[in-house]
Formats: sequence, structure tokens, C-alpha cells
Amino acid sequence: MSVLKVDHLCVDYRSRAGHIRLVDDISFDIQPNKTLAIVGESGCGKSMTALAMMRLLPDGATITKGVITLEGDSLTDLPEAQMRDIRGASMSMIFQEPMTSLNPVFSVGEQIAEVLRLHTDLDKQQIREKVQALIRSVGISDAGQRSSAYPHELSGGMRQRIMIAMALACSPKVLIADEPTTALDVTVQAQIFSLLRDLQARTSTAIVLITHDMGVVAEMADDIIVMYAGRLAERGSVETVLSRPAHPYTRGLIDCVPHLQLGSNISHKSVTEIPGVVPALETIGAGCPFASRCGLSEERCEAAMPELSEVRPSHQVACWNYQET
Amino acid sequence: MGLIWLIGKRLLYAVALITAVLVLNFSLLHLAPGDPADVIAGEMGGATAELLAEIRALYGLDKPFLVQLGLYLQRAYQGDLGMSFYYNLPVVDLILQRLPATMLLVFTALSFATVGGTVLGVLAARKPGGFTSSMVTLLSLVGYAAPIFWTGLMLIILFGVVIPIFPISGLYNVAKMATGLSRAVDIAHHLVLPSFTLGVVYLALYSRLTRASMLEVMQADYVRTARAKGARERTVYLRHALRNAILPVVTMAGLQFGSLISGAVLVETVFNWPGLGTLVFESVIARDYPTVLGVLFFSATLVIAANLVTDLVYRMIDPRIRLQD
Ligand SMILES: Nc1ncnc2c1ncn2[C@@H]1O[C@H](COP(=O)(O)OP(=O)(O)OP(=O)(O)O)[C@@H](O)[C@H]1O
Ligand code: SF4
Ligand SMILES: [Mg+2]
Repeated sequence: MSVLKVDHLCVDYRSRAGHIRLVDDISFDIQPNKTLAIVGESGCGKSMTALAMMRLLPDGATITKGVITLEGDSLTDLPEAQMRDIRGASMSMIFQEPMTSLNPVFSVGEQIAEVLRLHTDLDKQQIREKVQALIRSVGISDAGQRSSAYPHELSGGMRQRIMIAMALACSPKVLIADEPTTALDVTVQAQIFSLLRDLQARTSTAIVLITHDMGVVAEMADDIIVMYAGRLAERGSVETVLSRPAHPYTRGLIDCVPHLQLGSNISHKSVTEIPGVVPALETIGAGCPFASRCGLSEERCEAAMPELSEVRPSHQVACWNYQET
Repeated sequence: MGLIWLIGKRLLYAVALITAVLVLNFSLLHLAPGDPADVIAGEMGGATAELLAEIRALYGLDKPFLVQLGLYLQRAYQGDLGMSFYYNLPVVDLILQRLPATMLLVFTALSFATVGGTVLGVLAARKPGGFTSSMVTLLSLVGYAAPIFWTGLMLIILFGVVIPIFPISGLYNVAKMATGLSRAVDIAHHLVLPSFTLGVVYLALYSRLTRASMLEVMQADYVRTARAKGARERTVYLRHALRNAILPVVTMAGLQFGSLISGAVLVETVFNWPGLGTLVFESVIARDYPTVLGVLFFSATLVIAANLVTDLVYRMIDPRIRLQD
């Protein structure tokens, strides 16, 4: 039974210059206690998908099609007041930039306490205790002292831990983590991921993990969706998609990570990058958006967008020439 | 510890600065053409050579410049600013008599400008390009461009002549001989036009500053975090954003305290407000050097005190400053 379902989600951005589709027909669902990775290069619409789930899209961007359901209830047409009760409680989100995501003028304890005040009936004393417990639960020692610290007094890793404590304060059903470690150095990244895994084991929270690092996907996720220019390229279990990628774009992403080239010696095979860049969304025509960079591209690719087709049970790909491996 | 140290350091700076102000003012006045002894003698009804010599000896005007300066500084630090030639009263007494009226005017104008400016700026930032926003921009342009004396004169014409609802001169109505509450009301009534005239330029400035600052802060990551917690839009706006957006206004208000005091000189003269401004104006005309010097000394002290207070306020609202220095 899935906790969160996203069905044919479209997000459009309207400006004076015109109208572009940032997220085009994305569907996926997540089970409790599982992690879904959303992967793709910069600008592929990963954050927009996440923000659409929280209904926190920036000005000008709106959900134009599709339904998002949390435990069977549709979020897409929920009144804003009820959506507020869900944000931070049943569904919470942590962001890419721990350095700027906390408010500089409030102590971190106060910022965690705010979530509890918003969504629970705990009294002052209980909130204080709960805040300290949360700070301890994300692996920070001397919680009492740390809770009165201000964000600028903490390192990036510490701040991201505080963000996680804040996000988990009300035991959400779904935690969305939008590139939670991009701004952190490698050892801290590993710590944050192991923290997320531990917390998930304890709370059964479903995690949506946004990343463009296939190594992280292999380590963290159960399922994966690969996005390209706002569209779904490939979808399936991590095991299948990483070992038998069907979409040329997915293969390209995997080839960017040296140690994932199973069976080959890194020193013998050089790391390959996908040539070219993600096209500007307003220039995408009717065909496959990856065509300009794809080695297998042919005439029909330019003419029409390939439908999502089943490679094998629970493994789908949108490519005319996908290869079964 | 840090705070005491800071205040101590600032006080030391202050003494040095005030000494410099005194030396500079004293020297400038000394260089100015015109002999105070002539003026005093003129007041007494005639100038014989003996009388002039007597006056010079009495006020120490016959001593060499440096000796005069030294004596002046020494006395000033003991709280003795000399005798006024013109009013024939100790300068300190004169200043203390006039100080409350000026303080009342300056602080009313300052509160009006900061509170009013912040409120207008916040309203304008709610919908950039909306009606309120355009009105605030217009008002702030007009308010900022109009010179103080022009605003003052226009208000006198408007509310003194065309629609006479506010008194246009003095601190209170002498004829009323009011006491207690009705006197306070009377003073408040007299205060309206002068404080508006003095404050409106700053009101204009602070409303634009707050508007710009709010618009910037609303884009900050921590504002998105606050929304992701499930906070109401009003909380996001007034608690998370405003607290950060107010910082530049505090800095500005502190820095501009000096120009506010010089503005008060003009306003007091226009509205015949019995404060330090009219005092300095009268004493310049009368070449009453001790009084001029005394008022300058006092305003310099006020400005320095205001800067110290600003620093402390800033520390209270911005935790990032607390640890430095
Ligand atoms: N505030 C905004 N207003 C309009 N368009 C935006 C805004 N933010 C991003 N976009 C556009 O939306 C598209 C998708 O951006 P999104 O932030 O979802 O990408 P992403 O996959 O999260 O990339 P990254 O890995 O860099 O975070 C991009 O083309 C981007 O230019
Ligand atoms: S549809 Fe064509 S262009 Fe697109 S990924 Fe497949 S082969 Fe490449
Ligand atoms: Mg992103």
C-alpha cells in the first residue's frame, strides 16, 4: 500500500515571455519505509516535482494536471489551510542549502520548537524536552547547549542535522530530501546518509531522495525515477535500473560514476560524460528531449515523444530504441 | 563581559571624539569675524575701551587662544560650559531647559518615521506593483524630495491657514494655562506638525528601505523553510521575514540620528519650537559663543550616544553580531 502517489503530474510556469512546462507527466508512488530516488541533471525538474508535492511552488509555477495523494487523500485540491496542517507534519522537506535554510535570527532549538507548536498540543516544558530529544536523535551531543545555538554558530553538517530534526519532529509519513548533501563535504555526506537510514529504520518514514549522484542512489534507494527535461525517462527498482539500464540517458548517468561500472576496471575504462547540455525547456519540440545528445537517436525520435513502455514488470522506459540488457 | 568591554571601548572613543568636536568648534568660532566683547558691550548699552577690556578679562577673552581652549576643555569636562553672554545664564542650565522639547520632537519624529516606515514598507512589499506599493513609492519619492522647510511651510499654510486644525507655533498654548492631562494633550497637539515635518523624510526613506529589504528577504531559503513547516503566511511574513528585514532600518535610523538633530534645528525655527534648535539659532545671531559651543557639544554627545544605543539594539536583534568584536 503506497503512502504517497503522484499521478501524471504537470507543472507549468507562466511568465510574460510565455508558458513552459517544467514537469511533464510524472508518475510514481512510494511505500512506507522505502526510499525513492529522483535522479537527473541540473534543471531537469527534480526540485519542482518536490515543491509541487509540498504545494510550495515558486510564484508563477502551478500544478496544471495530475493528482497527488497522501494516504489516499488528494493534496492537489486541498484548501491551503489544510495543506498547512500537512506541511511539516505528515510530509516534510529538507533542502539543498543548509547554510541558508535556517533563519539566522532564531536559535535552532526555537526553530525546531516552532514545528511542534504548529502541529502538536504539547506544553512549553514538553516541547523543550522533545526538542532536546530530537536534537539528540540526529546525533548531536549536548543537546541542551546546542538548542540555544544560532545557525551561524554551527557547521553545515550540523545545520543539516538540525533541518532533519525539524523535518522529523512530527513523525512525517513522507520526508522529501532535495539534494541534502550537495553543499557538504564527502565525510559529512556519508554521515548524513547513514543518519537518514537509521532514522528510517526507526520511523518507517518513506523518503523521496533527490540527487544527481548514482552512487548515492545505489547506496540509499529502493526505487528510482530518472527525469530528463521535466519528463520521465526511466523508472524501476534500483537494482534493476542500475544493473540493466534501458534508457540511453540512464546509461550515461551511470557511466559518470566510476565504481558503478560493474566488472570493469576503473583504470582501464575512463569515466564518460554525457556530451552536451540539457536543452532549454522552451526549445523542446514534439520529439524526445534527449535526441540532441543521444547516440541512438534517429528520425522518429525527433518526430514524437516515446511513450512509457514496460521493459519488464515494474521497469518502464520512455525511449523508442531502448535496449534490453 | 563582552558587552561591558564593548561599552567601555565605545565610551573611550566617545571622549576622544567629543574632545575633537570641542576643539574644532572652538577654533572655528574663534576664527569667525566679530568680537564677542563688542556684542556684550552693545547689549549693555555702550562700549568704552575700559568696559571692553573689563568684559574681555571677565570672560577670559584676553588670554591667548590655546589657554582659552585649554580652560574651556577643562571646564567642559567638569560639566561647566560657561556663561551665556546673551541670556546671562549658565549654558548648561539653558541647554537643560531646552533639551526636553528637542528630545520630545526628535523622538516623536524618529518613532513616527521608523514605525510608520516599517508598516508602510511591509504593506508595500506584500504586493509589489500593487496599489499600496505604488502609493508608498509615490509618497516616499515626494516625502524624500521635499526639503524640510518647504514641507514645514506648506503644512503651516495648510493646517494653520486653510484648515486650521493644528497649532503652528510653540510647544503649548500659553493662554490656556492648562495643567496635567490637558496640558499633555495640548503639547501633543502642538507636536503634530513639527514632528511630522521632521519625520516625513525619514518615513519616506525607511518605507522604501523596508519594502526593498522585505522583498529580498521573502526570497530567502529560510522563508521557504518556514512555509515547509506549515507556518501561516502571516507568521512567515511578520516573524520570519520582518525580523530579518528590519536590520538595515535599524542601522539607517542609528546612522541618521545626527541628521535628524540638524533637521530639528530647522523645524524648531520654522515652528518656533522652544528647543535646542531655536536656542542655537538665537545664539548664533547674538554671537553668544558659549551657548553655540555648548549646544554643539551636546548634540555631538547625543549623536554618539545614539550610535551606541543602535549598536546595542542591533546586537539584540541580530545574533550573528553578538560573538564578534
Ligand atoms: N523560481 C523559478 N521560476 C521559474 N522557473 C524556475 C524557477 N526555478 C527553477 N526554474 C526552472 O525550472 C526548471 C526545473 O528546475 P528544478 O529546480 O526543478 O531543477 P532541478 O532538477 O532541481 O535541478 P538542480 O539539480 O539544479 O537542483 C529549470 O528549467 C529551471 O530553470
Ligand atoms: S527516444 Fe531516441 S533520442 Fe530519445 S533516448 Fe531513445 S533513442 Fe535516444
Ligand atoms: Mg533542485
